[in-house]
Amino acid sequence: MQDKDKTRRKVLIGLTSAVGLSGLPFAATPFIAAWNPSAKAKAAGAPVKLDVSKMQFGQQIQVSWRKQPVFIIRHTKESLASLELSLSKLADPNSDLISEPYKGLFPTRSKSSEYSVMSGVCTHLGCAPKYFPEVEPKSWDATWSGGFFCPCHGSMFDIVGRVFKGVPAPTNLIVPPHMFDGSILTIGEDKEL
Amino acid sequence: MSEIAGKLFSWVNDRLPIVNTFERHLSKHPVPSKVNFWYLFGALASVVLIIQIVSGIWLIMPYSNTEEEAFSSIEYIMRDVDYGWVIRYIHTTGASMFFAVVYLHMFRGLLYGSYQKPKELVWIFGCTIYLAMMAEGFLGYVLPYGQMSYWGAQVIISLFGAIPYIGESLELWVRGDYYISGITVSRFFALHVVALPLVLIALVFLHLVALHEVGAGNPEGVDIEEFLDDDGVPLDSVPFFPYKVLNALV
Repeated sequence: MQDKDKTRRKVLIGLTSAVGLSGLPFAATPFIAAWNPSAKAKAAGAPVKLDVSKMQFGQQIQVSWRKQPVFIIRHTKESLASLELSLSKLADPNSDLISEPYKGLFPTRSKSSEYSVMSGVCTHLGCAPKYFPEVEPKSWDATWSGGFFCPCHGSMFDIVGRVFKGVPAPTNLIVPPHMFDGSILTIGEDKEL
Repeated sequence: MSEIAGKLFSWVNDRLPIVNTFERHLSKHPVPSKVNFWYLFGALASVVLIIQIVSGIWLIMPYSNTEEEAFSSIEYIMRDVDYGWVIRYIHTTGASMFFAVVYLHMFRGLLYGSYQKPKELVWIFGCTIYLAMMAEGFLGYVLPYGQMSYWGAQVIISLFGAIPYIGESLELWVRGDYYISGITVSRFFALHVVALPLVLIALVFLHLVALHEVGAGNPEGVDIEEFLDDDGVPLDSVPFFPYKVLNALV
């Protein structure tokens, strides 16, 4: 084979390989995309809507969003005022350690001045912290001023889910995206975010 | 870094002949330079086999092999899974293309007498692959568990019933039930995705090893082994890679 022919053959091989390789991303697209959440999974994980106007003051309810508990609390004026009492115990009062969607909007950490919305999953190992709103001495804290106590490893949070110092949980309870349309609360979606 | 990688590779290669095997059977396998396009379909068939394996693995993920959910999981694949319909059609059309390619491959074999001495075994392995493919195709056809699957299974399984004396009990044994049911579907699923693919891959391996032992046929009637270069490679040949692989891909 002449040298000239070899060069030509090399060019042809290069061109053919390039054409072949350019098809690779197209061939790979369906296989990669098929691992994304399917339409069924997306529908199951869709935002949850509920009417919160029937909640009593001080009441906590739990709804399920994407198979995770979400706590909703309707605060009383007194309980919001009592947030001051435990302020010195908090590890991260302004939620600087986590990216929080509604930072500094209300003391409730939500989009409402009256309701708190937070993930009911302890940021330590994923247990469910329990709601103890009363201001009274507890076996785990003699100066308890209301909040959440995790029975698994003793993590403590105030009534808007901010974590105490010196407990196993590293960060405040997570606030999921949500929005209020009058008294209709939507969890998992916020058109303004 | 590349030095360490190179050392590691040669350590493995000294103990396991990766490069040798790869060159012998794939990249440097001598192919007569004058083989015509009829000799393309063997390589194409292996490309289709790989496509079937990959798309098949992706279909197992959302598929459910129970009586209640088999059909609805196919609907789920077609409607809800991202690109699920593409992957399913790749697999079903790929199955048809597999047969088309293999028929052309067999036609070539008949034209050029590829079944003659010394390639009888290559031909026999090939015919066995064809039988395994038909079984694989039938089993896959039943898995969606729709009307066509159900009655297709009814007819094909009834063929066993035509065997004298043992027919009816054989039929019952294949179905695992008195009619076609979820039991049949789930055993067909196991055969379709594990057992027969293993058999097919093993047969393809034997087909190739046997072929490479005796060499491909040559329509020109020229014995390429007659003129060898200094390395013992036939002069009138081109390495399988890149010349024949790129041919096949395009």
